[in-house]
Amino acid sequence: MRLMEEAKNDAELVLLFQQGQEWAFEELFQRYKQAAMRSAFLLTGNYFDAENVLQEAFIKCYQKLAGLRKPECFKAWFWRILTHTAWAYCKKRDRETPIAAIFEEYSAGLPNEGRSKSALEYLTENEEQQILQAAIKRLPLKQKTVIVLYYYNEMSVQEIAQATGSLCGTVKSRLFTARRNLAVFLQEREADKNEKEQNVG
Amino acid sequence: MKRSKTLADESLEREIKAALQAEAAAVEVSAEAEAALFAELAKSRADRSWAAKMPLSWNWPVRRFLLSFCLIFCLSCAGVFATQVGSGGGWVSGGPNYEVNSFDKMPKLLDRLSFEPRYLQSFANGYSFAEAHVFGAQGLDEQGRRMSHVYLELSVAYCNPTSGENLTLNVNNIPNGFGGQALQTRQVGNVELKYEEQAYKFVPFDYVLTDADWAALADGSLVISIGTDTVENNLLQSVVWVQDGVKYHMFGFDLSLSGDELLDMAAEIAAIEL
Repeated sequence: MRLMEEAKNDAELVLLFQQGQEWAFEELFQRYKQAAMRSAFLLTGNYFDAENVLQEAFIKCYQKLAGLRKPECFKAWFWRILTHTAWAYCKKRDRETPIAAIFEEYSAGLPNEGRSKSALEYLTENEEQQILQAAIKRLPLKQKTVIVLYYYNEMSVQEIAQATGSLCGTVKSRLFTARRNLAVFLQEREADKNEKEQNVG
Repeated sequence: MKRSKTLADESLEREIKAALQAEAAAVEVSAEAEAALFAELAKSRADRSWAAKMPLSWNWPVRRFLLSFCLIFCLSCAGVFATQVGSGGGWVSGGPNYEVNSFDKMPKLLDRLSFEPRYLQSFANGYSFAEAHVFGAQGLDEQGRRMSHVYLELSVAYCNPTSGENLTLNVNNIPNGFGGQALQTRQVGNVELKYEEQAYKFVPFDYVLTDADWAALADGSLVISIGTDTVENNLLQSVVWVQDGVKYHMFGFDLSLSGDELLDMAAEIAAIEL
């Protein structure tokens, strides 16, 4: 029975749920929870906020799934719920993080496993990557969203457009702008670093 | 490594991907969060079972039908609301819903049933046929999943033309627990009729249970049912019996009838020879 359940695709699970098979939703949750949680974490920048977004998104999904007319569009539909929930959450939180606090927040925002390392350890362990992570965190929310969905979730431009309720052109534009902003940020950081090295020298 | 070398587009894209993967790698959904989510879903399911099926402005026949459904399955136990929230088990309406409002059309409804029910057009005290439904019901397992089999139940509404009071007779062959503590009994042949009373509280969808509600639910002295515009406290009067493997539940709220009078009416039905 379990094997049968796992063999079903998303659309079949949606249909089964709509016919009253509650287990089908649990199956969908198991399939999407990891990616959803990690994406929520990347969007909110905080583990506990991510859990709240995850919970809110899945509850909305559960309550509205019976009315989904195109079960084959479940993936885009779900990511749209998650994305908009995260946006609403971030907007409500309305917390602009100063750059000086980013590394503190980075350490505090990780789950227990992550918190065993200090911010300093993270910095020295992989400075280049840490800088880039910080730069992504600094992006405006909608730019950060397309970056997360495109590079982390490996969604196509069209899928991101469906998930965010934007036109494909808008998604491409945000991707381009986000990449440019990251490049500029990294160049500035690199220039600062070189300048400091030269001064020390 | 010079940063300038990594700023080429391809390299930047690889780095972005790696940075995101590294940052999110340690993030998992905690067991507590998962448990909290499913607790919320269980609550949502309890609401959905009722709220999703009701139009915003539902008239009395629909309401009576839903309340009848609630009662037949929840008599003598903690009620649909508490059952759903507490154990995840219970019953939900589902499948077909057929209705007739003329006694002559009853055979059409009866064709759909897998059992033969006893019923009357009118009682000696003046109560007479008003309308009837056949509707489906599905059991929920402990995880709240609908079981595959849909049972059909007959619900016949009677009205007293003088007082306007309503009384309902539900008949089914659903294999669930049935009957509570009898206040009075009466024997009709080899069938024992049981008269019972139960306090009911009907509440709006957004009603928040009080501590007193929870305590009353726990000791079984109260059943809470969701679906009214205002909070209403009612006394349910019932006569229940099992005859030829079929379950009968005749009931009404805040009736002017005594237990004896309700038992008289039930005895009229039980005495019918099939």
